[in-house]
Amino acid sequence: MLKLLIFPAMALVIVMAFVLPSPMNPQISLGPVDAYRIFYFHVPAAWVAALSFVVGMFQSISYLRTKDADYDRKALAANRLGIVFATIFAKMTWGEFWNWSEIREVSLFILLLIYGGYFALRSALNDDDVRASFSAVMTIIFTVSALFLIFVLPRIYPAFSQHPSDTIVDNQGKMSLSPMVAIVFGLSMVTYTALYFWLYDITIRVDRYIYKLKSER
Amino acid sequence: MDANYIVMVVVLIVWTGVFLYVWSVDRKLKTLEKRDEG
Amino acid sequence: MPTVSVSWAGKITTVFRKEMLSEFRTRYAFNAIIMFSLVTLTVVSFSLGINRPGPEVMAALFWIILFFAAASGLAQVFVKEEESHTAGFLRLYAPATAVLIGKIIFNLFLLICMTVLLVPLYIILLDTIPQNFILFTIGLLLGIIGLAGSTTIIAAIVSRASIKGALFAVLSFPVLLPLLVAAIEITLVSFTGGDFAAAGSALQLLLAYDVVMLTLSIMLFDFVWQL
Repeated sequence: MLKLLIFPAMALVIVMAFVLPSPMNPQISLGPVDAYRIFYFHVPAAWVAALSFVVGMFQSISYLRTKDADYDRKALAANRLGIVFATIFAKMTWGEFWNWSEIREVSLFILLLIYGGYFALRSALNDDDVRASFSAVMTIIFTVSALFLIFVLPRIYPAFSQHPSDTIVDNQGKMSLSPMVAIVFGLSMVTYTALYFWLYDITIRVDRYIYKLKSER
Repeated sequence: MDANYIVMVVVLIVWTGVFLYVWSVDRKLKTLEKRDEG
Repeated sequence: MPTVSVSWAGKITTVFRKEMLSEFRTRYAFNAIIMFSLVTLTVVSFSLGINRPGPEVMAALFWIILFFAAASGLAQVFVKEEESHTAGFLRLYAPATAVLIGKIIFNLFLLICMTVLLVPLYIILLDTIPQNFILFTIGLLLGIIGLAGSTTIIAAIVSRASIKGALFAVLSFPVLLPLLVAAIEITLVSFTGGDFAAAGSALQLLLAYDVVMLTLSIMLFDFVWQL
């Protein structure tokens, strides 16, 4: 039962996040140094949200090619989880770092807008087949646009370079994470990803089961 | 360090709760699915 | 039965002509777009009064007016097919891609009409003359091509949904965001008299966006139309 490993792994991350010295260099910190420990938790959340939306796009493509309703279910689960983790990321970074929070808040807000639109579309369509196909089409269009946005955002916020990740990459662009920080961060990323796929799997199974119950009536 | 310690304990408790919940959902699903197979 | 094969260009042209004919009987979308852009322009001009904010704001305002005017009029092109129940005939007549391209060209035509009206008025009312007019025009052209290219398929999706108007704006805005950002930057450079090099990366982005979104629309339209 590998899933059980997720528990101690995350627990370890939590403990290390508070026991180790804060990953933020006190000299360049713009906020409370300790608060930056959240770094171990919010970056992986953002990664998982982005991953989820990309997964959603591939499921949508699969749906359009095979018309298998299970793919629609998977795309829906992916988009749902994407919004969940994006919201978690938003809550964690709210009120965090005033200088560069704009770009994070903006990209987050846009992401929520995009996938909120996805759910608005789903609720406006009643026919199952139409809804599944149209949602798949929109997901693909949305995700492609979101990818474009990655290139576009640095234009609105050139101050993006003013990242407090000066702790990760110093002025010469070299990795300056201390090894312990890097390990814990890496572990957090892996654990978050594992947790994500577990939640993803459960969401799909719940959907399938509910669908089975409904169609047996 | 004390404040950190408290936050850490709280987060650990929350995480344990979350994990147990997700685990129980997983188990319930498995029983339901097995019931329908057999 | 004698088979008449009409070329693709023929079908696209016919779809386009049909759109022009039906549109100019009622002028519904045409009026919507023109009136909306005029009203928004007037509101902006009134609100600014004597104040003349910097070129960044003027560039952004220009595209905001364009976006909302487009959102008000471009969804019509498919909604009217559903409402007048002519969608079925259209499906029989032409392959999906021809329908899409015909309607994109039509939407483009609407946007061009609006632009022809809007630009002189914008210059006069808001006292903003693009220093680099060629750059401005190119940015404008690329922008409206992207507008038509990406929103027409969204119009098709919305035509089968229940909340059409608001849904179209909600779905289009995030999709158009990269276009808006790039176009505003190009317009900004053209207002302040910069040369092509200064707007270079934005131009590339906009061009890439146009090509990608148009291709994507063509590839995906089948799935929207054939249901």
